[in-house]
Amino acid sequence: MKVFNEKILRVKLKNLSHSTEKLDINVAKKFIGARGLGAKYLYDEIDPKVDALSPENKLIIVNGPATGSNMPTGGRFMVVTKSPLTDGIAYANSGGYWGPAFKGAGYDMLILEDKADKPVYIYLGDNDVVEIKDAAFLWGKTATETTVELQKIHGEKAKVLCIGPGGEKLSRMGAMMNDYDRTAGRGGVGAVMGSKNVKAIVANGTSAFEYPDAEKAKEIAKAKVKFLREQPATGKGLPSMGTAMLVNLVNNNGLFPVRNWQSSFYDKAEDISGETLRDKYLVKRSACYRCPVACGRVVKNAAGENIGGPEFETVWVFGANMDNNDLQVINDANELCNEYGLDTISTGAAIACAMELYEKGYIKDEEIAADGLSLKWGDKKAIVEWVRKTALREGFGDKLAEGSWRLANSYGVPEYSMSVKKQDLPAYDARGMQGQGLNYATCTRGGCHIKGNMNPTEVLAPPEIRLDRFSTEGRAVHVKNTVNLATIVDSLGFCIFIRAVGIPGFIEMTNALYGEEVYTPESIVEASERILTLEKLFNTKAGLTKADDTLPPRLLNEPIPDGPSKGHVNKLHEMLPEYYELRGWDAEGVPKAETLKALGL
Amino acid sequence: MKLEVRLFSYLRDGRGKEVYLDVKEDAIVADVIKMLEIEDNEVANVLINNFNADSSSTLKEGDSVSLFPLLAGG
Repeated sequence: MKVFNEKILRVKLKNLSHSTEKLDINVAKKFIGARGLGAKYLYDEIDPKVDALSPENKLIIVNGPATGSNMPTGGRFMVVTKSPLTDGIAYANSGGYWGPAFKGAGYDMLILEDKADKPVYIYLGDNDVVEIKDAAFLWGKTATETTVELQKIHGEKAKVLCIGPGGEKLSRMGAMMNDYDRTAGRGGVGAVMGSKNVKAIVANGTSAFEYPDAEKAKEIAKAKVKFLREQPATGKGLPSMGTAMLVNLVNNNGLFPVRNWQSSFYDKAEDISGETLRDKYLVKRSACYRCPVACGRVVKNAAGENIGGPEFETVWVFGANMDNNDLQVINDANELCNEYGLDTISTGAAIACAMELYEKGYIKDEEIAADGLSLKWGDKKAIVEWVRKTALREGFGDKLAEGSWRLANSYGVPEYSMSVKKQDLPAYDARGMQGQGLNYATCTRGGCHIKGNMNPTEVLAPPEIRLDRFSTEGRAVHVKNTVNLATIVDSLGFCIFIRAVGIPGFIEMTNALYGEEVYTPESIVEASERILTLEKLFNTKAGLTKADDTLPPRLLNEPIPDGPSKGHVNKLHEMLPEYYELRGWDAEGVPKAETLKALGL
Repeated sequence: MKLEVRLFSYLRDGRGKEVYLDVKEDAIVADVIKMLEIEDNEVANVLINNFNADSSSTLKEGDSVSLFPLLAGG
């Protein structure tokens, strides 16, 4: 394998046939790879107005040029499709080890079309082996059960990407799981896979990466690893505490939403902090392909078995956001999300939304009586059981599976859904972080932080370089640059946590893998703009408008009531026009004709 | 004057979660960092009574100073 094998595998599920076609390397370079390349193909191949769960949607899984290489964290892949949660574009990123095994089998991209009549799984091996096999015996199984069964058949080295009951039952939060607990989580991509009756994709390719100059690639990788080990964040913080190390810092800045964003300072944050997770629950760390950081957590479940531990967002959503300060409950809820294949943020947010709707009297006792569970804040047993019911669409869980926005809207009060474009917001209160709010409002895949996270610059950074998080002045250009960087990293196949290597670092690694100067800083930034504008164009054609580039009313109108960020709201209106301008989009957020021309779209 | 210093992440290693110090009247945060034998560049975030501050900030009796190293994550 190499940067690109220049080969696409297309599977037509209705008649269980498959074919390969050439990937034009120049198109790949223009859209970088992974996220960008997936957007290009999705835009070209489907009508953006199709129903996301219909056979007309396509599920695209795509690697970047770095995937499978020796470069640190060069192992990620992207799932690109139309989202059944937002009705716009979905792109969900995952690490683990599946991506290199997929590229090793000879492909850059897999396109799943229409729908199989009965559950199937796809096997991809060396020597162009492609098998579409009956998966009736796997349907209903959890991610672990599915992986174990498939490895019994195909060998322990086979890597499994699968859905659990969450995706099978078309939960709008359905996720795709790989390597047990790595997740392509957001946007309901698992439901799209379930709607096509595809249970799993087994990647078992073993071909080695061909380097134009192996010595040079080795030298550069070594230097980057050394650099990452010397940075406090990647050398000490993340390895030691994982992403949950952010809990105390975010909370002590008064930015940690509590009880569905009714408050933003959690007095029991220490109980669910990264420090407590490490001191009381951590068994060991885990790492993805070629990663020197190893931010993954391994903890124990109730039966004493090792399981994947929670990330920061997961700790928040099942913790402070539900007024639960018991980390074991969070570990258990996380385990269920992983096993059933559900996005933790959107699943937790749906339950938290339901808890507020219950508190405010919209959901009545009679409605949930049959479930035998309460919707009271912090009810530990209920929290975990609601996850199960959501995955299985049981009882009231059927309503939760529709996501917080559709749930709240069914009572006539969508404003209780703390989401943007119906996708739930993560653990940073944007009333105290102006730029993060602009990021949330404009992210092309809906409410999300990680595709342009302003946390590093508005909260984490040392005082000398930190932005004033309460100020909107000149903030749009910072958001734009941060979003561009994330787009580049997503499209190359690297992990965003090594962002410290900077655009020059990413270019150095990528050009070495190509064996030629494919990118300069200007050209790779231009490519990211191209990708973002294409995603915006897709969303526009799907029917999303400027009205969707907004924040929940609570963030715009209700000041934070307590804590260090008390009194603030997000002033989106002061930043949005400038952001559109910088992107070359008109006042309605629609890409201008001259922008499309300049970007070659 | 008396201060409470709250330490986070790996700054706790070998020091504990909370340290109570008695410092001189005109002490600034940088003095506290030095007293705890933390390197200057190891502290990225300073909060005084949970409000953003930095190493040059002045202190008063009874303040709670929170010190965080450079963190990252999602």
